[in-house]
Amino acid sequence: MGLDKSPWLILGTSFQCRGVPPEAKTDLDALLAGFPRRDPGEAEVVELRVEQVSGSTFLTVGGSRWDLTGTTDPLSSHLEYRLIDEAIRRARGRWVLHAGAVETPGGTCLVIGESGAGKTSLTLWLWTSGLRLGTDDLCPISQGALAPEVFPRALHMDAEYSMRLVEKMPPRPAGYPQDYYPFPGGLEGEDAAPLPPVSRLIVLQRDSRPPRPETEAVPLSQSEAAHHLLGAAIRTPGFDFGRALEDMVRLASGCRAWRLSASTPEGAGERAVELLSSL
Amino acid sequence: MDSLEVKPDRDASPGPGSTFSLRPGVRLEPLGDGSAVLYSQELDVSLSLNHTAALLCSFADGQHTLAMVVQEMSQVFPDDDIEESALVACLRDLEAGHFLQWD
Repeated sequence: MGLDKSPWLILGTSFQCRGVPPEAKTDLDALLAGFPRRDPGEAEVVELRVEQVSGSTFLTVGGSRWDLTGTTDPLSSHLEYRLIDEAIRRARGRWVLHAGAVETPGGTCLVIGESGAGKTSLTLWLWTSGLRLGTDDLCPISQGALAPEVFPRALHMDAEYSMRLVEKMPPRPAGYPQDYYPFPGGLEGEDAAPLPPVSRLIVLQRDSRPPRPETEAVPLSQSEAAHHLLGAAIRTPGFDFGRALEDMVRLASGCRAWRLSASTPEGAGERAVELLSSL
Repeated sequence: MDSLEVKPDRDASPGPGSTFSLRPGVRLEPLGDGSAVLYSQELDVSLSLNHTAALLCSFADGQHTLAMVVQEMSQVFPDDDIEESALVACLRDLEAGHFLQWD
């Protein structure tokens, strides 16, 4: 499928890619496979253009230009990152939270925490424990209606993950871009079912010291949950603070929330599974 | 600072007749469980308040004096000894966080 043809539709913005070299095109196709492709119709189309001039590579999108010469990551990885970043910048009518999300029998559970706390690990642990994955990293939530959305970005697994987690994951398809893992599902077909309303929130706290007990889940007040949700909302241009506050307060009001600390990713995963299945 | 509770201690220079209010651009959002969120639009910072601190902030209207607040909180928490110095310490923390001002 040619990237120069149907644009990718990401968070309501259509992206047309031009000038992408064939090898990067194949990888980018794989990384964005979960997102729908649409004829733009009347909608605004944002162009992402790659130019290779005298051994240098330049990337232009949304009025910004980057010189990728000498970078070590594959071009497809840069393109995917910039597309998603630009889509978030342009997202209208949605909050985008730095959060993982899984569907539980009682509703959607968000996983938030500071960078490096282990959100992705925990979210993937929950997925490999049988819960449907909504996103491992970025969760769009409609403003007002507060409906969480599946965000089928390829899973970026460039860090060290627990061997037990890796063993639980299905095998990676041969030839799939290095450091990535295909998102299980997408926004079309059978996988397109919307996520249920958010009803659970886990705030993951990084803790290198063994806590007593080894894992600890402390219930949070609604204001603590709202505070953490507000902190997880990405500040995009035109971010309406007052509206975000109102929406995060409403979201928190409908949630049961915990602060989860654990000395190991496996401990966090097992405790989270226990918490979510006891409800 | 991302959460606040009323605790005893700390010197207090505001007196029983002092009043206080939220700084311009600061919003207090009460939640159903009695806690509340304070949010400063200017600083893009939020603060989680437990139910005691939330109640205290509900008096940040420039009208209630500290003496009135002590009296009203004593009625809400009849089993607790509400100390003015503890309230002032909490208000001072909020002042330091640019959420509140003395009138």
